[in-house]
Amino acid sequence: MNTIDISRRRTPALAVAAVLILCLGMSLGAQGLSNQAAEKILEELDDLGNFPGKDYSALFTIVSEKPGEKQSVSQVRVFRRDSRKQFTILVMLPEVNKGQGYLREDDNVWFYDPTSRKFSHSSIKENLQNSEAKNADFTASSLKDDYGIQSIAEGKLGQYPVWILELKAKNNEVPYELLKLHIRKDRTMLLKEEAFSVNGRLMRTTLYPKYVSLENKLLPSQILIVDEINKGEKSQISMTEQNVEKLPDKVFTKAFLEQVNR
Amino acid sequence: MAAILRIAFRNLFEHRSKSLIIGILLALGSMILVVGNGFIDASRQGIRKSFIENYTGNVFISGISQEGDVSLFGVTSVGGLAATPTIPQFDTVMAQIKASPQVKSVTSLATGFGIAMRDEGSGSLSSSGTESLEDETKDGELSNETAMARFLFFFGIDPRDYWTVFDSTEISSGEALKPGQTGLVINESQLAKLSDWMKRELRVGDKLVVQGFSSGGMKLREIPIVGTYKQKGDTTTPEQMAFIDIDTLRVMAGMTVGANEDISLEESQTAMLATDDFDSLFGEELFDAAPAQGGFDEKALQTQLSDTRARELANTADTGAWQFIVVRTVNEAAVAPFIASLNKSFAEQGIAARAGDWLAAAGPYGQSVDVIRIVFTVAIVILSIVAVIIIMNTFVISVIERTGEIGTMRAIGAGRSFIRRLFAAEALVLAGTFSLLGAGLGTVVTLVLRALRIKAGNPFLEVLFGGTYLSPFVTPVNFLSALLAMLLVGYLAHLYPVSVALRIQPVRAMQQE
Repeated sequence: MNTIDISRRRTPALAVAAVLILCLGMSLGAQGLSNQAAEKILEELDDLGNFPGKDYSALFTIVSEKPGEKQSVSQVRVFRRDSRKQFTILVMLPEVNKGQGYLREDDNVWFYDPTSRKFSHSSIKENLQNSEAKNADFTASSLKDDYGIQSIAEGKLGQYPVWILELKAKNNEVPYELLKLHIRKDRTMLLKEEAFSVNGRLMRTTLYPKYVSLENKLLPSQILIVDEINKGEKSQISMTEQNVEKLPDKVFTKAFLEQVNR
Repeated sequence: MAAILRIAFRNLFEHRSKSLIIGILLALGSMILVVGNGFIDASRQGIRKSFIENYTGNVFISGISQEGDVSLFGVTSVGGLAATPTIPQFDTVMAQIKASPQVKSVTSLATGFGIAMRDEGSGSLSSSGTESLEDETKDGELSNETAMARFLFFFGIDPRDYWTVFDSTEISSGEALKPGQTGLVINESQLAKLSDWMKRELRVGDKLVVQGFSSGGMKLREIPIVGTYKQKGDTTTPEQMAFIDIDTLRVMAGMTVGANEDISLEESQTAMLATDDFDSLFGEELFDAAPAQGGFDEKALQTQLSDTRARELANTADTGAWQFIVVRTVNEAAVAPFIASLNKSFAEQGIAARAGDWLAAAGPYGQSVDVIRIVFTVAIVILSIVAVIIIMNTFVISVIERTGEIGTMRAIGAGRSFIRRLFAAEALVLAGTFSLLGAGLGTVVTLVLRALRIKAGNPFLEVLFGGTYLSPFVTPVNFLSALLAMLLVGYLAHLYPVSVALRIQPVRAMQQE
């Protein structure tokens, strides 16, 4: 696997920089993917995962595994409206938390507990129902806006040749500082994402081995999230009943969380 | 020996300026040791007393977790959210403890954490959101002060006997929790801070919305404030400690009858979890069949959520479940054998429970005291090395000045061992005299500091002080160990200069006179 560090272009000595840029240009040419082309891929990935002008709903089943413990299961219904940075999540399982809901608008997230019929304000980065998934995983994101490309390489994942893009966060709004994406070459599909901390420690690996095609969009239907810090802890998320039809506005209100629990 | 001592005293007096420099260094070292150890002992004893009298008793019994040590603060695990185990066969364990003649009083406990919330109501998102965020910083994080004012460390208690074990608090308004009563008793200072944050005066009788979090997820509950408490005397506890009825705590901590519900899953929903070879996941077709598109069906959703029987059952407190038993013993000396006998008995009966002392119960908090002691010890060692070097240097100068004298002594028949003993005597007399002075001065300083009753003023200093006031004390062991340490420093410091002096030939030494 060949890795090219694009950030080396910033070397101050002009001559060295010129030689490096030349070499890098040649190398990138040899890899068949320029920095611009890689950015285009990120744009396509963003486009596949987001639904501007449309809404998205699905039933997520999250099965989490921890060593020495029984599997824990959560089932949540997710409603998204990316154009207004909104989401609503309703917990369907386990029974003990059934009806609990999360509602996001902009940077605010509310949590609703139907037993007490009370709302509280909660954080976007909070873990969802004790799984490896986070609230932020259910929102629209922009790889192109939030990350810069550090290096481009080639590799193979299972039967599929992939581009391997190393990305560095441009802001501190994202949960992880560094990402390594494995993207299918012949059709833009994210197959694997490795997330690293600021000091380069692998924190989380996410695999996307199953997709569905819906109105020219590719949507993951099965995801495996592996916690690399706590060995043996992983979650499988299965998305069913995926839908990109327009949702009523009231779905993204507190009243909706109360109404469906009546 | 008497002659050596006489000469040693005479020499020290003859070279009094250098003797004084070395002596002052030794006295300072001795004083620092006495005062420093006085601080650490006060801190350790204060924390020990505070824990035993407020939270842990002398003996602490908990369940056993595979994920880490169990303390009053939960399980010390990597992720930090492991469920605190309940004590298995609770009634058997409790009966066994109560039957012991060592037990003065005993109660059962469970603990948990929560955050006080504003009642967000059902209003519009924008107005409510503005309110919620107004005390957050630009990064969206709560300020430390606000976070601490809202944070609650819950003690789910058995009101029948809790106050017989821990009597260091008193109700300042309202009432103490009664058996079967739902409610919260919080620290009066914390109530004032919460009122400031809420921008309305919270009183006894008001309801507080609390978000509990545990391995079982989040719970929001509205709990009536039945009373406030304050500390008796000088003992100190964190303001965040709040007493709550055990059943509310059980629900918030996931100690419910439905905590282990069985959910049936399709094979495809768990198949990937069994895979370690991630490449194998990408060996076949990557596409599932597209789902059928249908409109949003609110009615269907309502129907799915309308049956709440299972949820109600799953949120019913497991009334027999307790996480801890805490015991106050009749005799402190009997604590260790009592703990050993309990652990032996649990092992014989196959009960997954463990008994420990207050330090085990204090968990990471108790270890902080040891950290302070280690830091102080390291500082003392560094200080000692510096002192040895300075003293050694002063000794070397002193010895070089006396080269002629040493040469003369050796020329008239004094052997190497005599010279060595003479310098050792000088060093030990100097170290003994001045370290005694230093230790005495340290004792006076400690007594003055204790008499001044300096108030801690903040929680960090309260931990360092081991209570509300600075109360250092000197024990005979600390006094003697300071003397011995400085004698050792003095003795070690003289070895090198003497070896330098003995290397010089007597004839050459006399020529330098």
